[in-house]
Amino acid sequence: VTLGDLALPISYEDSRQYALVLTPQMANRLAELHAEYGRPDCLAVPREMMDGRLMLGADLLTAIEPGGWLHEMWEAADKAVLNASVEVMPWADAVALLPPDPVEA
Amino acid sequence: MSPMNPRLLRPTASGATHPEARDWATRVTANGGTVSSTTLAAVSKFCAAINAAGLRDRFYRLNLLCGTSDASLNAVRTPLYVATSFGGATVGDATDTNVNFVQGDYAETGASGGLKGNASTKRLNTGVTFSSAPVATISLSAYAADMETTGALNTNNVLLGSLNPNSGFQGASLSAWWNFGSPNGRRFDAIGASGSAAPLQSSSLPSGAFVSASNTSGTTFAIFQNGLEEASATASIGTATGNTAGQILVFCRNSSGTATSTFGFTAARIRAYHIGLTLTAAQHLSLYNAIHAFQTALGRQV
Repeated sequence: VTLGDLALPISYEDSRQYALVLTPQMANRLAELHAEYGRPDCLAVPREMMDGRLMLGADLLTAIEPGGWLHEMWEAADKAVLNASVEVMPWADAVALLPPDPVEA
Repeated sequence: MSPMNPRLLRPTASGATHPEARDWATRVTANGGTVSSTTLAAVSKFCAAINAAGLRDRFYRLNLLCGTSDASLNAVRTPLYVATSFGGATVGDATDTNVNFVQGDYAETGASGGLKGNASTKRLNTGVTFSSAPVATISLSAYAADMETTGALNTNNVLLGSLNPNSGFQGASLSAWWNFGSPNGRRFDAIGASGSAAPLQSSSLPSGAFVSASNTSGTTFAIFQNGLEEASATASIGTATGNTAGQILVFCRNSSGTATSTFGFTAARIRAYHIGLTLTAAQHLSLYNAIHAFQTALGRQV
């Protein structure tokens, strides 16, 4: 399932069921978009999973609507590339792929 | 001569508002947010209580996580205090930086009031480092609901902090839940280059509480819940020379000294936090009383 399969706009409650999974290349593109169109005080920062891909909460899709802090970045993005390249995964499955905390004494 | 209208003798709404509360509301507006009169009145009472208790100079930074909900969380990210005195030099960033929170994560009032973490990606960056907030004299607190009370081995749910595992975990953090082997529970770490005032752990684990911890005097550190001391230890810890640049994060801890290296996320619904200086046991109780009264005014007390 990819981003293109999600019906947008999506509600906050529905969006919390999913994670957006990015390749490192897509994460770099996200950082480029933020540098050009994002706000310095609101950041979408993915976490790296154990398989090298990166994840974000799909609830960020509620911030792409007009007035949302991701709106300008969303408008500037290539939707065809995003829709095909961003994988949508059940939230719990993505969380299970996050690395464990460093062991503390 | 007609008698003076009593309304002329009554302080105006603006005059009755504490100057730091007014300043906070001004900064919220400048940041694109809004504040209701009810919230402003509650913040004003909080400021008065803090001053009356002689606590004002104990805070580098204090955010009551309130203000009207907006799409960019502009109000809730504007701390009430950003310096140890009104108008003093700002410690950390002027506002908290939002990382991955959306409007749906925040409600101002009631049982769902506060900013809700997701235990995985969401945090605030205060910009405060141990260069400006030395660990030997630090205090941390969070007023929160939905805190973790259990978890598997090697899990950590941090309310706020920064620890660098590459330098013996130097730094400080306050955890809702910590389990890297027995004993586990709610925990405060304060670790410098010379030693550690850890582990300071609380055995009682309410999901909602005001958790605070600090250096209390000299080389003594203690952890408190709802203003009452639960554990203490004495250690000369020195400074965190191995973690001078790691910004203190809220809803997780900074790890390895960069803001993007993060571990130990919490799903707690945080309703206030502070980063400050040494607090005595009596001051912890006074702070609890002031924060709890504020939360009660917003209908989100625990």
